[in-house]
Amino acid sequence: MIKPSCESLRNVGREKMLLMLACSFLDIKDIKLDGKDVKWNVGKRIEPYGSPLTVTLDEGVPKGKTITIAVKLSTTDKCTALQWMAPAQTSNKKHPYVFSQCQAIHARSVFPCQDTPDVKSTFSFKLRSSLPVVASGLPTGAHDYHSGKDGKSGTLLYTFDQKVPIPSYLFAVASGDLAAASVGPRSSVWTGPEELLDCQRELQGEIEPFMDAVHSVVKLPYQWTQYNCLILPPSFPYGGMENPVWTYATPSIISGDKQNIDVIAHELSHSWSGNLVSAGSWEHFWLNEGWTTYLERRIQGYVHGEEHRHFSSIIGWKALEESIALFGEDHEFTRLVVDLKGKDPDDAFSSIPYEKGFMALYGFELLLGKDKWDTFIPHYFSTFAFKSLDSYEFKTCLLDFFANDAEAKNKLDNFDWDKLFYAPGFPDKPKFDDTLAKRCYDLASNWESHVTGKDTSFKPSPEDVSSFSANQSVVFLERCHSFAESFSPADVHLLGSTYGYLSTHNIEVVSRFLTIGLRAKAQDTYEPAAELLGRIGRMKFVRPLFRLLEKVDRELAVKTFEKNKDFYHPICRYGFRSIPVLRYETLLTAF
Amino acid sequence: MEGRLAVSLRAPLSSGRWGRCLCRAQLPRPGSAAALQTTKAQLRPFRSCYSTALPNTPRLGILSFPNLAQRSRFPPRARGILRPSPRLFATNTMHRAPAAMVTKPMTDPNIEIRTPRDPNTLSNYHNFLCKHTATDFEIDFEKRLLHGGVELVLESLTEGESKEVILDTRYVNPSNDQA
Repeated sequence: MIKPSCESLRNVGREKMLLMLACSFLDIKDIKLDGKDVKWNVGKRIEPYGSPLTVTLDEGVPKGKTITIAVKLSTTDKCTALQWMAPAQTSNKKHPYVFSQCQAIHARSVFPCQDTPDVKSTFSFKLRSSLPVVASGLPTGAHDYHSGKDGKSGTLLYTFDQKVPIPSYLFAVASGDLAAASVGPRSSVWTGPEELLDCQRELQGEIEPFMDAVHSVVKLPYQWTQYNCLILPPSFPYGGMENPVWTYATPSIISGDKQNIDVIAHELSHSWSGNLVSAGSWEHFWLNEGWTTYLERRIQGYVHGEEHRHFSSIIGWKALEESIALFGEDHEFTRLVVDLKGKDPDDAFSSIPYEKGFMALYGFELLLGKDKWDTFIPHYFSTFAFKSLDSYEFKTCLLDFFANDAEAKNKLDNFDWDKLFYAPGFPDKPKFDDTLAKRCYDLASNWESHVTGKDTSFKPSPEDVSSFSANQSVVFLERCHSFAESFSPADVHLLGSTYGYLSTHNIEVVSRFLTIGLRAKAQDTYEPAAELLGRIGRMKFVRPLFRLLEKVDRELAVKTFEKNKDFYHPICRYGFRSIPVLRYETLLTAF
Repeated sequence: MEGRLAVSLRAPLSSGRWGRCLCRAQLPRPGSAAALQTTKAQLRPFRSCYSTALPNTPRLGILSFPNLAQRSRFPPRARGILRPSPRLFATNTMHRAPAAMVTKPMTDPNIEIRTPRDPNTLSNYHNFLCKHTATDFEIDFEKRLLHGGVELVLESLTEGESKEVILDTRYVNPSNDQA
């Protein structure tokens, strides 16, 4: 791609034509400085960071004075932040849909900005669309109807204000066939009209207890006035994103049993850690995700009991093991503080900042004692509210806070900070209360004896799992994956029918159950797997299931892909290249 | 590519903070035969590269990546394939915010040098700081793009020394289509 560096060439008709023809994605149309023309230049592209846009001032600006730069532009088809969906990719298949995802450094592909979490600004949004719009600010109304020309739909101007300064990566917009319902005194859920009531039932009354839980730990009121959830179309390939005022989430969290909404506990916690107190660069991303995972688990402890916090931490440790195994134990990206100079922050993305970050903070809780640590948490959040910080400021803040407490000071003086920040691989494993996990492991070993014929005395009954949470079922089923091939089709059926895993709407559970079925070659799980693949486009579920289905029934896998190819998000389709039988189909259809 | 050194040609300022790193030179590991042959001439090609190496210099006296100098540019990848990536060259050729060069005499003990700590932006946010962002877009589902504009209100952090504002863009390109 040739990207010419050129200055504004006003009144040069021929060059203008040439430029337009040569570069199909030329799209900054005009730049004004305080309302006047100004010299500007787009430099060479420096991957992975894009191209610097330089605006040259005639004279310097005194300290503290402000200037206004106004840029007219269009986004291009190369924009990495916007996902456009055809009507076929949405659930009622009637209207198109668009949503943005700017984290980590994609805001710069929507508009020129200081695209760093170290800069926070207030925002105002004016968004004109033929369909309802949400953005990362408080709604201030719909205005100024324009009727459509040439049979097109008319448009309204939707406006929003964000008075809390936010970093560029929290700029967000979505528009589509949206309906809303209240789920709490300051919360509503937004989704497609057909899904609305299910989503409302799932989230009704759930937000405020989470708010109370965070408040009990952080002691700082919620700063964003409203907390709404936008449940995206089922082809959304990811889990969730903590955009302020509206959290964006996959519909797979709506399970009918309120068991998958820990995603919401996580995204809500970001309202304090990440959105209010932000890591100053992606090298210190653990300050966002580690703190958020820590708060999410404090919510679980507060709402469901301390043993649930520990159970979640055990699941987290497993995720950490998987991520570290994927990178390798001595890989740079397994450090808590990573070095991203010259690198793309997206490449470093994994569970490590979440789980190693959590382990770091939980480690301080254990080191200092929960009572003392709990006095530091509100201090940390009030010190850095509305600001960005790095790991070293975190350290200084913690040391200063306990400077006059001899016992705590002594512990912190002997603490190995270099190890915490820079040692790759595993941190020390804390002891967790494994009451809840142990029951899953015990049940799995009963099944192992049963399916391998070692011990025939075990008779499964619904009571085995009657007290299980969905997460416990997930841990139990994942434990069974290690001997899934030993299941006979009859055992798979017994497992599914006895524990209700055949009929559950909880996709976290049913996808793990179908994994056992496919690996055990139980034919009556093939169709349900194919059906699930037409219902959800979250990559976490779709890719492993397609791989397994292809192994047992190629024809059905191809048929399922053919049937749903327009439904999947391009990012998800792109991932299918790694599945042999779909590679050819993917190439034919996806690009 | 083993054993590169990040060399700062700038000593710490009297204020105790570090000055701008003028160059990032790549030298052989000390002690190797090649190290002895390094000359100024070898440093020159890197003169125009502003620091991407130093945001981790000791801001509080306690930080800095250990073994920064020895760290391999090609970290071992567990199951990855070692492939040459354009990214790897970015550090060496990247202009880090040229406008960061606030040209005050370096002898001034009161000089304040602000080094941006985020290496993933090309903007000079330590010279101008965005205080308000006003976005105004029309959503065009047919063409699959947003068109409209953005207004940034930027506060100057220097006493008029910086005469450029540098912003991040990606796949957004210049044109003078006034229509």
